[in-house]
Amino acid sequence: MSLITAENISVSLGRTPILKDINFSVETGETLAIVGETGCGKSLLCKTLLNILPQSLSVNGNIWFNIADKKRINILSSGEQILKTIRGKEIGMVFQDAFASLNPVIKCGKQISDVLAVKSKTDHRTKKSRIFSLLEIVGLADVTRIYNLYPHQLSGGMQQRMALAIALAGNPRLLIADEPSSSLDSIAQKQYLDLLNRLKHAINLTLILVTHDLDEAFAFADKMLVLYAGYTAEYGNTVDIRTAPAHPYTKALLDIYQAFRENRQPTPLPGEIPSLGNPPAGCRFHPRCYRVQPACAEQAPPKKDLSGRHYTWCFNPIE
Amino acid sequence: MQFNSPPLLEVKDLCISYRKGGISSSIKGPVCAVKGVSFSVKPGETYAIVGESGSGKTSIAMSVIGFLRPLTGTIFFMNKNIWELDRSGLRRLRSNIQPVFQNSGASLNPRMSAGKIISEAFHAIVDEHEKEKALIDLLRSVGLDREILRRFPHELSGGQKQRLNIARALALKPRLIILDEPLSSQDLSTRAQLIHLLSSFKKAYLLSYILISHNLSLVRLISDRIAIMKQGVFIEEGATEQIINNPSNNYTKVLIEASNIKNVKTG
Repeated sequence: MSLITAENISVSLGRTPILKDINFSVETGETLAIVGETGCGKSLLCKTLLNILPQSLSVNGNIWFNIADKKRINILSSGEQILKTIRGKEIGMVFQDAFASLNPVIKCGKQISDVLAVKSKTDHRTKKSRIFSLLEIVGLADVTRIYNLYPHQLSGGMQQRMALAIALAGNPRLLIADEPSSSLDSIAQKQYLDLLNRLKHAINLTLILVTHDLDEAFAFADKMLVLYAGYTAEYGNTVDIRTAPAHPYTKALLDIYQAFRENRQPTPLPGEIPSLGNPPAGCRFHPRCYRVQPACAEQAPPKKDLSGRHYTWCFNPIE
Repeated sequence: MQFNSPPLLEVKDLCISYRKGGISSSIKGPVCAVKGVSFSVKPGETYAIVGESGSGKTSIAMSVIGFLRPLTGTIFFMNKNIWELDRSGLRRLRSNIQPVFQNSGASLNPRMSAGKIISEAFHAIVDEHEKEKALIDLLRSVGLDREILRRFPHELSGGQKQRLNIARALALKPRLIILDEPLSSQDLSTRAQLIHLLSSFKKAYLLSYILISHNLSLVRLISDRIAIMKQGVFIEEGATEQIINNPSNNYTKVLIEASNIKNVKTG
C-alpha cells in the first residue's frame, strides 16, 4: 500500500483554479520529485499535503496517508487533533528559505528541544543527547558549539541542515523538502544533496522533493511529477520521463537541460509562463507549444497512459 | 572581443575591508573581504568571477560600481581612477557601468510601474513621443511587450523582472554591465532566455560583462575568462576552457564537480 496517495487535488482561489486534478502516489522508501517552474504550484501542493493552506483557498480531493496498523486517513478531511499527530511526527517538512523557517531569537539547541518536547516526553539528558545525535546526523560538526548558536550565526548551508534536523526530530516517515538547496551555492548544494541521499538510505526515508533543477530530480527520484501552471503535464517513472518525454513541455525542459550539460546555447521556449489568475483556455501550455492542435485551445487535455507507469496530459504527445 | 585594445576596466591590488558587525557579531576587528585582487576586462569581453558564498565576489562588484570604497588599490575605468572622481564624474561613470543584481524583485521599486522604472533612465530625452519610442524599442529588444509598461513589479514573473532589470541597465547604453548572479534564482527556461539575450547584446553593442556566479556550468557558456575566488583572493585565473578542462587548484576541481550534480551518487 502506498504511504501517501493524492487523488484529484484541486486548489482554487474563488473561481480561479490554481491547482487542478493532481494525482500521484508514493510508496515507502520511494522518492517523488515534483518538478516545475516558479508559480506552477509546487509549494502550494506541498502545503496541501500537510493541510496548512490559508483559509482563503478552497481544496477538493483526497490525500490518503497510511498510518500504523494498515489504517489510512484522509489528511484533507481530518480534524486538527489528528493532524497534530501527523505533522512533524509522520510527515516532516523542510522549507526553501531555511533562515525564515528558524526562530531568530532562539538558540539552535533549544529549537530542536522544543520540537522534541512536543513530539515525545523524555528527560533532559536523553533529550540533549538526542539533539546532539540529530545535529551529527545532518552533518554539523562541533555540535556543542552549534547547540548554543543563534540561526544568524550559521552559514546558509548550516541553516538548511538545522532546518533538516528539526524536520527529522519527530522521526517522520515522509519528508517533504521544498527546494531545500536552491538558495545555496553549488558546493553547499552538493554537500546537502549528498547528505539527503545518505539519510534516505540510512533511515529508509520516503521523500517528496520539490525542485526546478532536473539534475536533482534525476539523481534522487524514482518518480517525477511535472507541473505546468497548476496542471500535471507528465507523471511517471523517472527513467521513462528522462529517456522518452511525452509532453512537449517536458521535452523542452530536457532539451534546455541537455544544452547546458553539453555547453551549448539552449534554445529558449517562446512566450511566458501564464499568470495563474488569467490562464489560457484549454491546455495551459498551448500558446508556447510547437505541437499545438486546434483542440488544445478549446478543452483541457486528456490523460494518456503510455506504459502503465508513465502518463501524460496532452492531445498530441510525443511518441 | 577586441584582443589588442587597451582594457576597459583595470583593477589593481584591490583590498576591501568591513568594520566588525553589530552587537551580536562574534567577529572582532575589521573583516578583510577582498585581499590584493587584480584583473582587467577588455571591450567586448565577459569576465567571470566564480566562488562560494562569502568569498568576496559581490564586494568587488560594489567597489567597481562605486558603491563601496576600497581600503587600498586602484580601479581604472576608461583610463580614469573611479575613486578619484567627484560626484558629477561618478554620476557620468555610472551611466557607463550598470549593475544587474540577483534578486530581480528587490532591485525594482514596488511602487513604480515598469514604464516609470524604465523611463527614469531616459530622463535626458525631453520629447515625450521620442521617449516612448525609445522605451518600446528597448522593451522589444529584451523580449517584453509594451503591455507590460502598466504593470507593477509584483505583477511580473521572475524572468520578466530580470529582463526589466537588463532593459534598465541597457537604457543608458553602458560599456560594462556587472551581472551579480543574474541567473541563479531563475528557472531553467528563463535561464535559457536570459543567456540568449545576454549573448546577443554582447555582440550587438560590444558590451563587456563582469559575471558573478557560483555555478561554473552556467558561466562556461558566456564567459571568455574566469577567475576563481576563495576567501577574498583569486586562486586561479585564465581562459574559460583552460580553467574548466585543466584546473590547477583543488578548490577549482571541487567547484567544477559541485556544478555538476550528476556526480551525486545514488543507490
